[in-house]
Amino acid sequence: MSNTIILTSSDNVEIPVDREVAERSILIKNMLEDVGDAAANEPIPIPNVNEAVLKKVIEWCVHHKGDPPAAADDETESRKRTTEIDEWDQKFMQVDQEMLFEIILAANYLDIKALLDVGCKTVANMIKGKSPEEIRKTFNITNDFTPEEEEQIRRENEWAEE
Amino acid sequence: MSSEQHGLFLSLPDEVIQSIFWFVPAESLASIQSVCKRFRYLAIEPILWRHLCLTRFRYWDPTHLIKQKSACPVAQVDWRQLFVERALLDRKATKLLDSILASQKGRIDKFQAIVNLGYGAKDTLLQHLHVSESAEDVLARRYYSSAVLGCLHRNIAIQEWCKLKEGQHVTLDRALGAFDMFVLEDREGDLEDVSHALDALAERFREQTPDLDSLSPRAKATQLASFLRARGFIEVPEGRYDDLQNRFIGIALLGHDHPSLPLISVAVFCCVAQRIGLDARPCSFPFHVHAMVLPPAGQTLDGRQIPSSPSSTQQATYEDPWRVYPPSAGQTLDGASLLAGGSSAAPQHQQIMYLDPYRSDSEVHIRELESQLVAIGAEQSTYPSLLGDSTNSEMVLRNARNIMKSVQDNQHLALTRQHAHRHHHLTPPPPPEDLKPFPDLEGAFYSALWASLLLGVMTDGPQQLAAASRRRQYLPYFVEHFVTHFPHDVSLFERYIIPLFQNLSEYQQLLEATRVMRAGDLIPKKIIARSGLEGLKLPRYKVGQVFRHKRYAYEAVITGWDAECRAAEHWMQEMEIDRLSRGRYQSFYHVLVEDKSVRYVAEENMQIITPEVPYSLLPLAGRYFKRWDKENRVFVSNIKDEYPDD
Repeated sequence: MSNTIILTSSDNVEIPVDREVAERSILIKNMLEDVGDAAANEPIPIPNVNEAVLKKVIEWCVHHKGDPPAAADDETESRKRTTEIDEWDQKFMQVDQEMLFEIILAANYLDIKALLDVGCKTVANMIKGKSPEEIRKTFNITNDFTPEEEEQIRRENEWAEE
Repeated sequence: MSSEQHGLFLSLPDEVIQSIFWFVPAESLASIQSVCKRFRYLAIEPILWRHLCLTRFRYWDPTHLIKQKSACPVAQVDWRQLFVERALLDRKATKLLDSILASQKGRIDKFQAIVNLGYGAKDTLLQHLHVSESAEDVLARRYYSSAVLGCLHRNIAIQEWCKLKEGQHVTLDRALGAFDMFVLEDREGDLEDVSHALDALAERFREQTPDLDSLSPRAKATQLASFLRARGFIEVPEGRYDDLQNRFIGIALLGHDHPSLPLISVAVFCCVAQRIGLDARPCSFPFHVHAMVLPPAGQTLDGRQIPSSPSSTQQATYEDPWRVYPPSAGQTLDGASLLAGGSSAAPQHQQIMYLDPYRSDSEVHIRELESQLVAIGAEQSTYPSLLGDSTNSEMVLRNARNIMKSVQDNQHLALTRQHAHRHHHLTPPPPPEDLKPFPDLEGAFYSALWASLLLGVMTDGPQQLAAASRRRQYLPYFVEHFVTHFPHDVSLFERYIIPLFQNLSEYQQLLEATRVMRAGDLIPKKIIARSGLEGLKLPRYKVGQVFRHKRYAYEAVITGWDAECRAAEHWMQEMEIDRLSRGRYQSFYHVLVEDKSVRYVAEENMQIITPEVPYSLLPLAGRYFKRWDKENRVFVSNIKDEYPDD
């Protein structure tokens, strides 16, 4: 069984990677199991992720190679929902917003739960303590409510106001 | 920001956006709803709010039916509404607490208002109780949140005992767990925790005993007894028998070494036994409580079927306590026939098995118990009741007596230790955590008084008079204890204690006493200023200073003063105030002593001291002070409304 496999990014760049590292992605892991060892030497296409993002994702997987495997969590609730992010991950996530969302999308597509959580927590931290207007500004989101709707939502959420 | 980034957030699939929302606090979730339509749609997802409800709040009032709701499909409960309700409750409770801290006026009603918010207020109170050391009013905040929490706990406990008093069914674990509520403070071990701990024991026992269902009741009982002993529910070590903590079922269940006395171990045994389907009850045997196990209807304890007979009276239940040791009239106690057992014609008592789970996992023969009764010369006519089952009320009263005795022993011990420490200066002062007896003595004693007053002798018919006189015995202790240590319980006192004395001479007095307490609570404190006082009349010391009594050596903090002695004449005579070198015309101080007592001391008897931290006073000082000022070595006043210049 080969220890290195090749991933092909959406922009057709072949990236060699340790099989153990690549298997942090449940998608890839399942694919490898499905095709069997014989076909494992063929490059695996990752059509939704470009080279820059894929390299970033691999960097994360390499760093977290030794982590205990994520518990099978069918119940989202049982998952420990702490908003803390470890130091290395914080640094890792210091990227521009485009890259941040690309990583999140890639983690979601490749099914790397722990990376997805880190990405989500990073965005959650950017939301925390902000007013609706500040959130819109931060993420460039357009307000599509009518003034009446806005007023109604404000009233529903009076409990949260200081 | 480049235009490329426009709406990137919105390019995420729904489930990813929801994962992000899962990590934001509820307050942000409110803002998120106002951002745009898609966010709103995703942020009102019930499962998010369910998660918030269940992680942010640990304590729920029974009226919220949280257990049932958690078991429902998510969509059937308006979790968002429930969360909002709790958030508003939290805010109300905080407001009330802040107002208690801000003024000495109207505290009785504010306490009651928080209690009326229900058990959910506990989450808020705990948050304030654990406020950071650096908070400006840390001592006061901790003191009053703890005081209100105590009131909330007691309210729950008292309701359980009232139900018992009214003849309603209360399970043994709740009846005894009520004592824990008086000393609980911020620990785990409320009625729910106690019940869960018992469920968990029953569950564990089932797991360990795969053939449980095929066992006879007798075998189940002995195996359960050994299971409990193996899990640490055994005799307390030599010399620790009188420890107060051994008398609380919650402490026994949740504590590391499961400290318990026979009464508590029997209660634990019975409660778990009932959970695995045994008819187990405490027995009111005089020396120490035993457990008794009865066979199910139509069976013997060894699991044999009894041909059904219409006269069979094996229907005894807890709701309908039925004395199960009734040797039929005229029958003598004959060991041989008692031990025969098993035949369908045998009298009831042969079908009872006794255990002493505190000491052993084997069955105790009734003959042993009887010979002990013979040894103490008990009348044979009392055997049925001494060997019969005990009602939950009787268990509560018995535990109350045990607690009272234990508290008195503890107080005695504490005094002796203090004395030894003061007069021999043998050791450095003990570390602060050792200064606080566990569990709290005042709370424990108070629980015993409440139980005795509420449940002491059922008030039926001719016994009513006897009940009244019993209650009269406890009343003075009760009133003194309540006024000194739990003055904010006025509402509980009015609601549950005063009605017990209706038609008795004390009734009007009690009403008047609470009226005075309430009136005193409602008027603003009279301002005691220093301006206008001069020379000898001006008190030398200030509110917040710590001193040692020159003659009695105790340490205390000043909480108030009079320019000259303002006590009643008879008190001054009794205390021989005029024999002091400066007599009655010197400043006198109201002080709070480390043993929780409140005293009135002449200036000449006080030696001001400036410890780095007066540990023994810290837990009490919050009643009058905001915090300890390390730099100036004084307490910072929270009673400026009364002493503006101190």
